[in-house]
Amino acid sequence: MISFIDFIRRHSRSAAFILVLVTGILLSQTPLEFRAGVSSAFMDTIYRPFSALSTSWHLMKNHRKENLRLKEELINARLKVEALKEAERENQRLRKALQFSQQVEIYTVLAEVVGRGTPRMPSSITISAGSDKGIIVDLPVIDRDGVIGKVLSVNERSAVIQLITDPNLKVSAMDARSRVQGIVSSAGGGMLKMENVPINADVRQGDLIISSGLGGVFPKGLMVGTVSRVVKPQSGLFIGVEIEPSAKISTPEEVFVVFSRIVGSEIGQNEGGDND
Amino acid sequence: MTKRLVYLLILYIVIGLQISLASPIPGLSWDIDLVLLGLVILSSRTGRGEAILWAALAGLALDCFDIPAMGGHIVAKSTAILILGLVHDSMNLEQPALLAATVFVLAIADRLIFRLFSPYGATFIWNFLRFDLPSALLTALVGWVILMIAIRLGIFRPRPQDDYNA
Repeated sequence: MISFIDFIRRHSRSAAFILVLVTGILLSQTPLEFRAGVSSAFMDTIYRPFSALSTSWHLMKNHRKENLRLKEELINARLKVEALKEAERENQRLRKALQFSQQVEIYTVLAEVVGRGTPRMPSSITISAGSDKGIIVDLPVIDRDGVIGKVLSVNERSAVIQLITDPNLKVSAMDARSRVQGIVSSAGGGMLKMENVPINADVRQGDLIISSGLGGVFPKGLMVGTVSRVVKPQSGLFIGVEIEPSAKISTPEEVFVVFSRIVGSEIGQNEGGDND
Repeated sequence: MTKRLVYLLILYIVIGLQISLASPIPGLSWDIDLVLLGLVILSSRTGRGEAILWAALAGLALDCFDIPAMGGHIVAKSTAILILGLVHDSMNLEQPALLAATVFVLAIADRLIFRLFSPYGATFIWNFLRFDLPSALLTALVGWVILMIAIRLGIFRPRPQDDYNA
């Protein structure tokens, strides 16, 4: 026994190497679950400071990239705003020259969606802005892509929005290309339809449908949807126009409540009935 | 004992850096084996047998990130340090070219042995030429610089162990 220990001592390097070699090979032959267990034990304890460091490092890198991208977008947006301001000034001059009496100015208030649906009104959402932000009944609500609906009821810090897919909401709209007008309402299944479109009207698949501004709730030019199908009946006076909503009706996260103001008057001029 | 705690702490930091920050060069996927360089320096300060155990410990830590090839880093790093021990016993690594060549041989040995444990055996030659050879060259180049600095600072002992004992 003593001679064996002496032998090990004299050949410590070889002994250590053989020990390590055997350990390594045995470890490589263990079941995958065991190896995963060893790995996760290491990751959760010893490596934790470095994983936090690594995560922070990558987050910092991503934030920097995101920041640069947003700066670039901001500059582009500013350029567009300047161009639009110039167009607005030109518009004002022309309106003045043509002696148009009314001019509408639009601005929005951002609100988060804090609830979806109420027992009484399944086609509605609840937002985080209420009368404290100046919200009143019947103001139109949009997201980045288009019309979401309109304000149905207002509380101090929240408001219920009637979605455009609610069968009781109707929006005056028109084809952005041919200017053909109609009434947009729910077609069920998250789709919309445009009614009262004459059979000889020029409406094609892919056409953009925008609000027409008639009725006083939705200002002119808000995106409503895209024509997905046009059905011409054998008989009758009107064609069937199916529309896919532009807005993300089923998964809204943030929405904008639209205020419109006739220049020279107070805000919240959206006085209308139940429907547009 | 304190000395060993310091070694453990240094090795821990080097492994952490290797895994988290010193990730493969973007686009090329070549990496510098900082752990191997750390073990080379460590082996000049500890006994040969002990250095192999340190290599096994570092290998086990690296293996936790390569679950399918677990055990590969243990064997690869230990073998590399065993080879270093054999070279170090007989050569004076103060010569820069010899030092760089030694690091290159160690890096190649380390990677070749690890590949034997890797589940991607079908692309062995491709992986070796595309990733392992350039990474070993890069490790040798950076290692040479680091080790020369370490010699200047007195951290790395490039001469055979007998010279220090004499």
